[in-house]
Amino acid sequence: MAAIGAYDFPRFEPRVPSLDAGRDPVRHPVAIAGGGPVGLALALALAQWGVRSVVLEADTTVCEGSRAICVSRRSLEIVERLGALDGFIANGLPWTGGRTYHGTREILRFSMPHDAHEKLPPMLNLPQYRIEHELVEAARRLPALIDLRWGTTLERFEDGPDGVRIEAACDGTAYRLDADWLVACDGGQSTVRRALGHRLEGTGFEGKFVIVDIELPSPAPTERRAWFDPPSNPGLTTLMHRQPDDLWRIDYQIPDDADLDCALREENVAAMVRRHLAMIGEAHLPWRIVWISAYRAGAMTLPDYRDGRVLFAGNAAHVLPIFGVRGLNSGVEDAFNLGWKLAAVLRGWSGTALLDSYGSERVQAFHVNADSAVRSTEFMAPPTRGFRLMRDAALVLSHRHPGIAELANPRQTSAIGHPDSPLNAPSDALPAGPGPGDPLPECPLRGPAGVRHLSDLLDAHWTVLHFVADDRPHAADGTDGTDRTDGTDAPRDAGRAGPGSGPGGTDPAALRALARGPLPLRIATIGRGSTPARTADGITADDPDGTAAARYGATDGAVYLVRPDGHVAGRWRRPDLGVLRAALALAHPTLAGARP
Amino acid sequence: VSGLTATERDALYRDCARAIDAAGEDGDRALLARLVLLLMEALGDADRCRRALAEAVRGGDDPV
Repeated sequence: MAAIGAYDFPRFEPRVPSLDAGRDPVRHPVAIAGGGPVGLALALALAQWGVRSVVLEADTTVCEGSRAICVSRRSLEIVERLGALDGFIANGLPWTGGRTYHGTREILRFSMPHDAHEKLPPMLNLPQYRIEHELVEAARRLPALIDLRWGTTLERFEDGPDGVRIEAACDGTAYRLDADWLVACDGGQSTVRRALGHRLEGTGFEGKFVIVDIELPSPAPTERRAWFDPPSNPGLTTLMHRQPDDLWRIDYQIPDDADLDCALREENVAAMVRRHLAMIGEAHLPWRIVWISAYRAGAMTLPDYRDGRVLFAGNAAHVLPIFGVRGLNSGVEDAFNLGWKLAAVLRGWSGTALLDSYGSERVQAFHVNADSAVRSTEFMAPPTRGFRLMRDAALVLSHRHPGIAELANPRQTSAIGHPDSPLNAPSDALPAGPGPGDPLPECPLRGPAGVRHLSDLLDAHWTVLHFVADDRPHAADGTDGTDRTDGTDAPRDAGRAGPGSGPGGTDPAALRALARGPLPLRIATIGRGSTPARTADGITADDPDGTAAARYGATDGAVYLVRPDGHVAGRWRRPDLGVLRAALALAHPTLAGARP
Repeated sequence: VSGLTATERDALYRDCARAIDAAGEDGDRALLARLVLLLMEALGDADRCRRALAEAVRGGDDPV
């Protein structure tokens, strides 16, 4: 593949490192099998903590073929934290909703959650080759931390008590390299997973789809369009998505008993594309087929994402049906969840229990994702007579019943919380805002340069979001029995005060001391009327109309402790330092006794 | 106006599909007839039942 539209495929030189008797003399903290989006995101996440990694990628360019195209808001938030957002925004196509048709009649217009508080679109279309391109560029900006080895295969490995011994091969040269940890980001056919004899468990589906990418200079907008029982594919289902580079993705269902090889023949695919373009009034446009592939739905996972010193992420750990675009997005979330935890273990700040929380959180997220994706699949390609009967009835009635039409809403992926995480600290009930394990909702703020939203307050490490009534220093005053909101006194809801609400409340001086402790931690102070500032310990931002405080159910002194991956570890009305230390100790027990 | 949330509707839809599968081709019509009778009693509104029946007979399209 030389080029698609304006995109030229780069070629990266295979490189064998300087060897010492057939062995890479450098010991690597982390070896990553697979340089796709998940492996690259993990390398970037580790680099944020100053942890070196080596990425072994068999290919010498970014991926080809019909792969992921939809990047979720949560993935974009992660990509921003990984330092690669600009290229995504510059090249991607944002979108907020779509249309569903029964035959050619529109039965549903759906919108994904989006409002003026958000910084990023709910979804951005960017083909996987460009996703990888942007992540590679970000990784190449960090040559001291990320060692990208193109054209290099992982041949064999041996997991021992002190590390993983890997045999790699590049350009006919076999060599050994040693790593503390090996992370399998090598996709659905994972070599690492197979070598260890692990199998994905779960449900496969009968529904078969052909996926074709075509170049087509269509002016149609960026949105998701789905047709049930269209004239171009009677009785079956077709989807269409716009991508950059004048590339269009068409997924169409073929009968369960169809011969796949026959269906994938170019002349048969071309005939379907012609019928589809005629149906949507674009038969007059020039087009060509770029890629053709097949897809069969399944929702399967490993029961655990760690085996000794080997970890699994992305499709190596789980596969999800494509409907709802949870494949790449859940893989990126895996990488971001794992990055800081692996870094903390390597730094000696945590034991392997923290890595096990990666597995438990992400297996749980898989089940949430699978439930939504399976629901979509059951509607897109009914697996049984009962589902078919219900689906066809729903489509017929959806013309006049918006409620029934909602059954066709694809419920695209959204950020998933970890309500049962072992890292969630006992917290206070607050009238609004994310609970322990949840990702942070976005909110505009007025901060110093570069800070216009709440998410801009976060960096690679832990963050204490400290809500104050104004920017005057808040004395540890022993409390007067009231919580102040907007300057008015309101009775304190003592019955809802949880384990964290110590009588002393949050002393800013103590928070500063916490920030100067061994664990990288930033204090972000949010107050209505606060003067935006950056200090050695953190950032202060103005919440001009109190929106952030309202969205977070926060009164003066409230604290959200935010994990490095942006999930809430705990939240309290007025915690004292001991409460925060105890919450941090859930992730970093070896630092629990440390006093700044 | 439906009082169902999207999550509730999804779950009921799935339960119905599974019940039809479990009843099999020999039993699914009887199952659906029983379900109709029970929902009529639960609704307790003859006019709405008649309108729903008429629409189901038409197959959902607009009245001609």
